[in-house]
Amino acid sequence: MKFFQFPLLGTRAISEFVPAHDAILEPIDLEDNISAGDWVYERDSVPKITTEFWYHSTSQIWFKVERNTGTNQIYRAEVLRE
Amino acid sequence: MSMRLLKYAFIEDYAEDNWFNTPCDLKATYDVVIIGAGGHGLACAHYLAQDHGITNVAVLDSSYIGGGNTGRNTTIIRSNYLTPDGVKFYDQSIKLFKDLSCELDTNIFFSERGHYTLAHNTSTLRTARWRAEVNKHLGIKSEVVSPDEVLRACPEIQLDCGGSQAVEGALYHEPGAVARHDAVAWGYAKSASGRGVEIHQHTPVTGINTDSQGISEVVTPKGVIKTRTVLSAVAGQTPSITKMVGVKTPIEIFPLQACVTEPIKPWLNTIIVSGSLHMYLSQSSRGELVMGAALDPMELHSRRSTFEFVTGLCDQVLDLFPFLSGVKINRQWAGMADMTPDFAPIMGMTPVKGFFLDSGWGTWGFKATPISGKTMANTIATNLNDPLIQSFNLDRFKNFNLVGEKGAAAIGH
Repeated sequence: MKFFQFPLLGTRAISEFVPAHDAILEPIDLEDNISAGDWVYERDSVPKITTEFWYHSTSQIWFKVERNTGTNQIYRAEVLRE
Repeated sequence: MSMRLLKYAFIEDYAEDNWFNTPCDLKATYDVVIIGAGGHGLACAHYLAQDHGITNVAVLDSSYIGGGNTGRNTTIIRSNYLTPDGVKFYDQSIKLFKDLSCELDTNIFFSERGHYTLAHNTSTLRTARWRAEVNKHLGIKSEVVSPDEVLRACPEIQLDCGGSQAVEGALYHEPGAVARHDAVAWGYAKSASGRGVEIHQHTPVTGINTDSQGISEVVTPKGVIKTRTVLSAVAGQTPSITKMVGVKTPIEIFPLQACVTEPIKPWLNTIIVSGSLHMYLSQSSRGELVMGAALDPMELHSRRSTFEFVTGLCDQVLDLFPFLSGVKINRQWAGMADMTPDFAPIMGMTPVKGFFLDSGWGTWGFKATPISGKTMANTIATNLNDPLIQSFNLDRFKNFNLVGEKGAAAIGH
């Protein structure tokens, strides 16, 4: 089981979290040479360091997590504030 | 070992021929280069040679034959899909599977057993009815059956499921089958190799070059190959290949794990799937129970397997089959699944001339091995998308014209 030190929660098993996808960018100007389909569906799923939104359901806190998708190493987790 | 058998080991005449060639050096030029020596890549090589007479073909693999998702799936074959496009495609695959042992002169241990997708609530039962009606309309034997009929086919099942999610019915699919996955890959390798196709194991592709006419070269550590046609048939690594030619796809990689128990006496003569419990179960010809679960929750480019997977899966399996509590898990493993947003594959031509995709096989690739090989070979030979794969084209995402197969996935995701 993989654990990580989360702010506010302390050390938690990562299986407690519901991961959402990459932190999606703001909507783009669709006239800027890209179709809506491309913007919705295109992914760059190669091993990389990425930032994701994770939800901890029991505490109802969202986190922003920096993770390496090649090694599953977590570098940083911070509480997501509006 | 008997002395009679042992003596054959020392008599050269009795040595069985190698199933496939293992050439050392790459040629300077090939008509077609296939990346990925799994079932799909090798099936395409076989049909290119057999149906179209194209034999100047190299199949490259970064590892060994069938070492990717071909050797990591749970070998279930079925055609009870949700969309007419999917049903027609997988039905053709089953028809090819049935004759494959003869066609390849290799016993693939094809075993038709029937396939039960259990419904534990009304909404799952509704999807089961929907699938059954689409299937029947297209001549596929699928029907919704009562819990009693499930019990007749599998008397060991605990229909109340531990008291929390009782089985309310099931989608029964008579053509559901299993086959030996390694034998499928090796059979295709043997046949393709016998027709002149070269199979280069341990030859990773590190780059693909293009010029004004499309694909021009494939770069490997063993040398640069000139070619005008490349098929990407890698599982779990498609985005790394498409990035080399600048083609963007919606594919995301998630690990999918599976495991087998120690061999036990035959008791399960069918295939049991439960989307609500995230499990599927069949018994191999060796007696092992082959079990799988849902995808891991996070994108990950790794084939590590986890303790959480095996404990979580066993918890669900024991709800249905408590008598298995004393059976030990023998092996567990993971593969990397190319997931698409609509749970249908991405096949055919791409915006880059000469670059073909056989990808997006997520958790549904093994059952499509023969038909994907046949349709991709036809697509490459004619330079036109085969009619059976028209709706699986990459363009469908740009046009929001998806092939919604999520409801027909074996397990909830």
